Amino acid sequence: MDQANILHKTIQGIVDKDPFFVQYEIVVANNSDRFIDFLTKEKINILILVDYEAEKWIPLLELAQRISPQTVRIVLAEKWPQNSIISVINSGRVFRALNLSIEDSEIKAHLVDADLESETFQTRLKLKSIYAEQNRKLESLNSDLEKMVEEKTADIRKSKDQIDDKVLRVRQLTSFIKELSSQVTFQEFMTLIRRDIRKFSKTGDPILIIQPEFDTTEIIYFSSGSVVKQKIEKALHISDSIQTNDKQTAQYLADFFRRPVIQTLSVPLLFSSFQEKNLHQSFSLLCIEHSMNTSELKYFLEHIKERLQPMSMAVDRAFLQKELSHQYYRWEKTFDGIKDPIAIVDAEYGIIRTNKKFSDRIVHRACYEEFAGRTSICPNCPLEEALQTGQTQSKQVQINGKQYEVSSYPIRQTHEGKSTSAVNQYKDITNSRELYARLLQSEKMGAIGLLAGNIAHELNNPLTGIRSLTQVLIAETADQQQLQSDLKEIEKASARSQKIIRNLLEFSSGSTNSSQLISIDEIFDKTLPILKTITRNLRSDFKLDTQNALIQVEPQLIQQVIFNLIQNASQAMEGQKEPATLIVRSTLLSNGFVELSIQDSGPGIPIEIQQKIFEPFFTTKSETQGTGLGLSLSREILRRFGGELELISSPGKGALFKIHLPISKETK
Amino acid sequence: MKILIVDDESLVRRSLQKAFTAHGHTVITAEEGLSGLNLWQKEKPDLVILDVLMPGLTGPEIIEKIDLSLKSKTKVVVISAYAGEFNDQLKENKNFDLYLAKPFDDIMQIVKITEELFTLGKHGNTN
Repeated sequence: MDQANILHKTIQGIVDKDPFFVQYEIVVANNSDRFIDFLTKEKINILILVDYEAEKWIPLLELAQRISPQTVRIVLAEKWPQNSIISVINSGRVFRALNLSIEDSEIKAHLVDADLESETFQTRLKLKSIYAEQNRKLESLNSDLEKMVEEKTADIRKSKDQIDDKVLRVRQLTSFIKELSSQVTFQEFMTLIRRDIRKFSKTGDPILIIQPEFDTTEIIYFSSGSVVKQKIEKALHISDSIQTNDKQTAQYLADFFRRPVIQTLSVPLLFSSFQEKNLHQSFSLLCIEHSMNTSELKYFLEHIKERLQPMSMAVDRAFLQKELSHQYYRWEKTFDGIKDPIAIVDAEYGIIRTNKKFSDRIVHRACYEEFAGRTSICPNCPLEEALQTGQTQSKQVQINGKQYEVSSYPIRQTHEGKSTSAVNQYKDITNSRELYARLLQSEKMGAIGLLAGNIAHELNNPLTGIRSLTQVLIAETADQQQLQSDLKEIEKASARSQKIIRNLLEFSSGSTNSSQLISIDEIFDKTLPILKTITRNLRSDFKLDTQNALIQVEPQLIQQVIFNLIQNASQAMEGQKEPATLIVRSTLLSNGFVELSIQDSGPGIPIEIQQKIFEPFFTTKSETQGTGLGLSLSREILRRFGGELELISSPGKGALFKIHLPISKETK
Repeated sequence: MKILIVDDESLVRRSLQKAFTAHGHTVITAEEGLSGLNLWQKEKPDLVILDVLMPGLTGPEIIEKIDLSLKSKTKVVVISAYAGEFNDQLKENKNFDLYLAKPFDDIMQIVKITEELFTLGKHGNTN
């Protein structure tokens, strides 16, 4: 303790005397409690431990170091065992380890060093705390930055997701529009909408309410997977705007489906083209049942709104398509309803379209193949001329034994351009022409009859006078041979004239169309005088054996038939070198018929036209020779009386026509 | 017998007149209806041959106009070239004794029939 006291005094002396230490104050701790107390409460710059056993110092030094690390520690001892010094210095972090027997001046020097050390230490501490502060700030700054970066990254990620989402949505929208644009019917439209909204789980199948016309309402909906359309009497008032919970429509649908309908999103689809054209006061409403909450609904609405315009357009198109197909249907029906065959053909006679009357099937053949069953263009077809002139052309064409008035109406594609197709209309005039010809014939005959009747009457009187007077004169001139024979010639001539007149009267009296019982022989006999001019140059061979077989006919008509046949026979043999022979026979047949056969020695009728010669208007003659009516009309006349007209002919052997007529029961 | 022939065709009149005259009959003629009617009333013939279509009066008209007493004493023969329903009506009429159709084939036959009609009395139509 002495040394401690001495040292204390020495240090005290140094501190007091030396202005260098003016700021210093010395406190002394005699025990460890004070020591701790000082270190804790005071600010100790320099700690000097004196005369302690080195082993005891270490815990104190460690304590001091813990409590006040900034304090500069100096230890003074009398004797320093070597190992103690090292462990004290190392563990106690001692600034200086000195000998107690140190000189005052040396102490002072050490104290100055210690002061400097303390100051350095203080400064270092201060710096350290500044560093620490700055570090802390930096760190917080850093963490802020990191946070910001993190936030930014999250933002970027988020926006990338959004962009992805947006891209996806746009892509979906594009494909939706693309698909929609190829849809033409309501069915297709509905199927597409259903597929499009299926990803929204809380939605039902779409329902479309349309009012195509003022008083028509139709509901198009899904029923077990397929699209169904149903007309409904009750009209629905449709608002102009989208409603997310359209109670009126929900009620309407509930009434229709007979089931409760939950929240209904109703989307009016307006169609422009209809409104522009003012075609109808039409509209449509897309309804979707849903149970979505507000945010889901918001997203769904966006989805729907994006599709509003294309959907409107699609509905628009579906309506137009409907209208179009309706019109098309009506045109087709009209087209098919026309009783004349009609075909639209191109310049190569290829069929573009036909009505049902023309052909039952859809064909891609030439019109003449399909309709006429030919391999080449029908003779007299007006198509080519119609296309060349651009004017409607009508001509008579014979197709399959029928007479058609074919009208070709060229179709003008452009105002200037040449027509490349035409509408061909085929009017069957077979009957009308036949009727007309028959009318003409009967009128002609009627006129001839009237004329003949008048002439006959006018001639009869003088003729009767001539003949009678001649007969009187013949009786009076019995003694004058020469005169009498002349008079007899006059009498014969007048007799012949009378016969001709009588036959002419009977042949032409079309007005008395009464059938009578008569033999075919008598009819033939009565026809003969009229045929005189025709048969004059023929070798005639007539043999009639059925004068007792009576037939019930109109003799004038049968006379016409015989006249026609003999005229044909005569014309067939015209100009031939071999003698022209006309053979007429009448025979009784076993089947109760009488047969009159008329055979010529002409060239005969080619086999390929033997069937055709009985068709109306078939003729091989020039126009001046005949209308071609003869044989068809002849056959028809005979059939009217239960008879038939037959042809037996082989080329080179002449033609043989056979008239068959039933013998009347009154004969037997 | 005294015969009146009314016919507008002179050749017919002439031939009939000649034929009947040759058979020893007296023949008077008229060339149209009215003078025929007058002659009938004036001359009171035993037999009258009437054409149907004539100027003035037709044959049937003459028959209608003649006094019944006079007609009952006279045989009436109608000859006509007119074919058709008019003749059918005439035939049903039966206001005359005989109908003959013109043209006739043999005038001598006519004379014979007419004479038979006169001598045998009424026996209906013969043609």
